Amino acid sequence: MDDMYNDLLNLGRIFGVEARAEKLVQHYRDELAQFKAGLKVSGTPPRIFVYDSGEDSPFTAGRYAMPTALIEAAGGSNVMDTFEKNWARVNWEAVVEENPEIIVIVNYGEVTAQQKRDFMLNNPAFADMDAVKNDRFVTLEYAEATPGPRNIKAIKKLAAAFWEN
Amino acid sequence: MSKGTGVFAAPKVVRSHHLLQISCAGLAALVLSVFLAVSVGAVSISMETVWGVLANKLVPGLVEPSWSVGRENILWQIRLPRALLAIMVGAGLSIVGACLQSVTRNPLADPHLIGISAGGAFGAVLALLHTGLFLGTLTVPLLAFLGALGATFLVIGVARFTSATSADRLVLTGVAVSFVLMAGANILIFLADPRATHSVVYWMLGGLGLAQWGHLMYPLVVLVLCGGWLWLRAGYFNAMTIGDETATTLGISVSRFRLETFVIGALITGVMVAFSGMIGFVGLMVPHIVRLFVGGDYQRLIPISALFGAIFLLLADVAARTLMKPEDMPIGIITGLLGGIFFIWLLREKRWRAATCQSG
Repeated sequence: MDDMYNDLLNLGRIFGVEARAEKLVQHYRDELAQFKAGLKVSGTPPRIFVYDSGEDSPFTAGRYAMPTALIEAAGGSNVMDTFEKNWARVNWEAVVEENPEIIVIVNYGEVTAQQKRDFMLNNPAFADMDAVKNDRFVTLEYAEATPGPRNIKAIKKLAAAFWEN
Repeated sequence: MSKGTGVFAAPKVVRSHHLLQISCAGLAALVLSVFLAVSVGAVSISMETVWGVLANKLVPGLVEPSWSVGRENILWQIRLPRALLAIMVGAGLSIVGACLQSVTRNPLADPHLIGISAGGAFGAVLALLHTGLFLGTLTVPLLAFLGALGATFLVIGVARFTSATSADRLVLTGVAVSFVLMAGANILIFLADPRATHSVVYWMLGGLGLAQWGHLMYPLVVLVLCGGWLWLRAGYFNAMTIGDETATTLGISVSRFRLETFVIGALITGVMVAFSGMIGFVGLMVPHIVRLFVGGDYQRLIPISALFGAIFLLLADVAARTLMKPEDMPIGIITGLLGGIFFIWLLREKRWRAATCQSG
């Protein structure tokens, strides 16, 4: 989240509107803090897998990528967060082993989120994955999954999906 | 009777019992490599579990499952199909490389040289960046295969159009078509959403992760039928290595046979590239390595190249999956690196030098 705040503060400095930038960032911080305080989390954080793209090997978010921060803010846990990288291609084995409960799809480009979801649902190797068995998928737009003002909205969207009960 | 000139000359006479030894050793190595490929990967799975899962598949209910369903899926749905695909792709590319090297009399001939893979790349880029997966998981392989077929017809058409059916000119035609199609693929990349470009890069570098039991029949059928066709004509390939004139006096319709080989080779290459991207160097290197051991007789070269290519790609895939785990390295990196190093070593090798000096 600091990535996003820093970007805004820097933009404020570049355009000479630092006060506005500070106010905006503080507003976001407050909104997030308020949201987190009101969030009812229970039990262990749900296991989340971020599926960006790729059929032969998935492109996913590691510890230093934005979605990991969003997922943690929403009370979840990225199954790849021990992976010390930004974004990378991993082997499907690692995903099957972690058995995610919810899959977050990043939506952009010509391959639609629905097609990515269908791919996961139709591959026999994933048939016993919790997320596939229970059909728990959330879609984030590209702009929501990368540092930017939509991140706060993204966190709320994720939290709603993680804790829908 | 001479078995070819230049690099195709058999440097020694290989007796049949040597051949039997090599074949048996090769088959044993293949089985061991498959076992290794299934046992090793991004997730550490104990040997007990591997044996247990395999035993259960052979005789259902034999072993009490002490492992998670996830692990069973990893072994049976991910690793084993992937190993089988590696075998088929390695075998297919090696056979095509060997046969192309004969009909073009060019030791640098390789399945990717003749434009087929560029067609496959064009199709794959179209699917990944412009049409999306409108046909589900098989969209990319299907469009890649259609692209490869298109490239084949294009090369044949241009060869006919420019009367370029001689060995050297067919290669040049293939190279030219390859450049045009790659330019086309690059335009498609340029015009597409730049955020999605990485998916194409990874496809082009090659990977065997698409392997699923349901998909394996396509490469298998093509490999068996087309590979069989090529093996049955081993005598023709031997004749072609001597020269067009000599082959014609032996009764071979040289231009036609060259084009037929090209089409059959393109079918194999097309289906392999469709499922695994552009895995380089296998088709080029494996026949040369195998020639050092079994000589240039295509009756032996074709099956042993297939065997060796299969083992090579299996082991390269194991390396790709484990060197940077859990990251999945594109296999083209491994084969390119090994292939390049091997190529340099080969240039130094005395036999190669001696053999190429003989050519005339």
